Amino acid sequence: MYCDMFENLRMTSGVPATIKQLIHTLWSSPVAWVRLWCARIRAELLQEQLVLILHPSRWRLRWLGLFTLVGHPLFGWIWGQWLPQPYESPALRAVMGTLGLLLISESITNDPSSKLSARIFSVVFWIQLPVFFSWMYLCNNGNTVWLASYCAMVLIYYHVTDWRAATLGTVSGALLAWALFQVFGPAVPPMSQQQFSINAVVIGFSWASALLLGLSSANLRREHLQHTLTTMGIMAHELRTPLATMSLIGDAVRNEGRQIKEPGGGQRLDQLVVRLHTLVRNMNQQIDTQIANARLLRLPTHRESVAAAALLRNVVKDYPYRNSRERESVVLVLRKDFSFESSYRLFAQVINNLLKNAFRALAATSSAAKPGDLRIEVGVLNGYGRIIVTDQGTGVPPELQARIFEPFFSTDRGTGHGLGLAFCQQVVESAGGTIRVKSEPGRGAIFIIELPVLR
Amino acid sequence: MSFPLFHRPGAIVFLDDDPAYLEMLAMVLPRQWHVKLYLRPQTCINQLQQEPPLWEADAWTQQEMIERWRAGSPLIPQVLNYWANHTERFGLARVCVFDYAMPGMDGLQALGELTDWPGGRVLLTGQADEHVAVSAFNRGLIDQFIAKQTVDISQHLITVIQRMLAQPQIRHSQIWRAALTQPQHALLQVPSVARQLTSLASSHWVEHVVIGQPFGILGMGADGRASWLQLESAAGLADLAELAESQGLKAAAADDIRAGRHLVDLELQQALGQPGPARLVPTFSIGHDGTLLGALFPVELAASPPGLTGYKHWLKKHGRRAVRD
Repeated sequence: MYCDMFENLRMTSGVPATIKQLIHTLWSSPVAWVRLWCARIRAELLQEQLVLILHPSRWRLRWLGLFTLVGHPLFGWIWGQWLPQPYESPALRAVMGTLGLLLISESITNDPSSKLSARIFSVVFWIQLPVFFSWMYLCNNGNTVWLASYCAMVLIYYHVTDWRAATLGTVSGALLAWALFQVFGPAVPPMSQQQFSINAVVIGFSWASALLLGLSSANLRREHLQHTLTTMGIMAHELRTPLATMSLIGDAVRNEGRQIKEPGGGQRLDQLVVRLHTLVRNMNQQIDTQIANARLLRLPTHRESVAAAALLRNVVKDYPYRNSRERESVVLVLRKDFSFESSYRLFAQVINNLLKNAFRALAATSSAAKPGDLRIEVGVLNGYGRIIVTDQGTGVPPELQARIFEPFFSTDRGTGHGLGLAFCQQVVESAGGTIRVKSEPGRGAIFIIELPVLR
Repeated sequence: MSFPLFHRPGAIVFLDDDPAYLEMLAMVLPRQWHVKLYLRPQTCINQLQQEPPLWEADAWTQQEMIERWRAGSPLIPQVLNYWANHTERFGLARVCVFDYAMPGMDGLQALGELTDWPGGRVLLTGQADEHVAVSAFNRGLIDQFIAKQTVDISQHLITVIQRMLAQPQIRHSQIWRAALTQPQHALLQVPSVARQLTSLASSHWVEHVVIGQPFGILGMGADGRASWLQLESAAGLADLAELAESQGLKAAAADDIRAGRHLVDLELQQALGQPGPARLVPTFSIGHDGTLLGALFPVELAASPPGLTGYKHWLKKHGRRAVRD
């Protein structure tokens, strides 16, 4: 069980190639270009899940309801009494405010993510935002107050619901309000051509901004979800491997139990127990790694003086090797010891991540690892402490070398890689150092950490 | 189910990128299996790719026995010689079990490299890869897939592999079918006969060959001891009794043969070319309808060719279950 990191990375290496291809396609055939964009737009429009209530939390709904309930009468008074506008309707304001009660009602706040809640929410916001604001805009003949209010409404609308629903709602609300205005609306003087153009440009600008922001935040939300799921996938994947072995140990224990009286039976059982402990240790290490990687954005600030040689000796000694050949392939070369300021525990995790990646790269080659295939050097050069991890594995393709340190750098394949190189970079940089990679595909990789020496 | 005309043990190959998993497989799989464990696809493929010529040479050797038999050379000593001299036959892999998710090359890609290799193919998958396995199965790339999370996976694996090992290889069946007459072959197809012969074979032998002249099964136990299960249809008893009388057996003994109470090993002795005192062995009926009788004669050590040491001995020499990196 294993997910191949560099395989995944290579998938993304298709990105520049795709762009090149895209330019080529564009150049050679505008029809193909149009078709490509149609496909992309269709996917964005139809295939992505429709989220009618953005962030459907109980308290958000309550606040929105309260805002509606209080806001409409308040602004009804402001635009009716205090700063009177040509058209204002206390009755309409009362109806709109009452809609806020629906949002606060138990049936919605108890289950904000249900279908019913989504429907009520959509109807309430459609009526009180595009329909009502369009009506008021038209009745006030598009004056300054209502031009600004209308623009604010569009931005608000795109913040509370899915951008597709908001677009459809804005258009349909405006049309409905316009129809109502034709039948029931008050008589207003005709708007000058210039005023009409100004209003159209301002509304167009705010609408386009709202659309763009809505679309990008929808993508961002999706990406975040994708990252979370990816991390969980990695975790699940990594734990499956030892669990499969553990299940076999269970079978072996059962077999041994039947022949415990045979010579060597007790001894074999002891060996199985040792195996079990090793597996549990490896799983814990796995979980530690994932937890460390998950805390990427809030590393503890604890600092101490860390001696490089001792740290590496310990990490190399305690690493959960899968077999003796892996252990024997590691060579630690101490040229000159140095100390640096970081957290011992976190830095040990950094080296662990690097070793893990190196072993994976080695496992993907076609021949068995030899001693020295994983070489760790500690030394000082030009006043900087250096830790160099060299492996003779499959290597990192050049186009990916810049990207492997990005957090969650992964592909649409969704399996993820679990590299933890972002974590490594974060920790190294917090110690004032740098980490970089040199590699040629098929000829191994060299990870170089440079750290300011503590005197 | 029909009784295989030719059967012998073969190796089982496992490929997985997790050494701990392979080591545990080595512990839980039956001791009498020759298990080869590989950590790297390339090493495993290289090994298996060397097999097709060996399979071909082995089939050719078997075919030659039939040719010589047609030219008048009895089969029993030929088979015993083959068993004694071609011990590498046990090393040929019958089944390979590949893990799907591996670094560098996945299990299906690895299986794809084994175009000419004739054995059974099993794919081990994770839950998420099941659709891959189903599609591979439908395309005929694999014979079986097993999810690694299967409850009691070792037992399940053993059952699946045992079933695959028990299936006769088409090539061998074709070769040895030529040594039987049509009525003899038809007898072996009778379900009750096939069932009883299968259980008999598994309790006495690790490998066997069915031949038609004389009609019977030559088998070899794990310890290298050969035995001959003489088969006689009820209709053939009179002829056998006559032969026994002509060879100087007493009338009472000939009557026993005629009545189907005993069989005599005259034909075995003739085939081995070692005439000695005839042995009478009690018969047992094979199958439901009582038309087929059998008697089991040990093949004397003196008659066995040197070097007939058997599977157990070979396994001891070659069967160390080490993970190959």
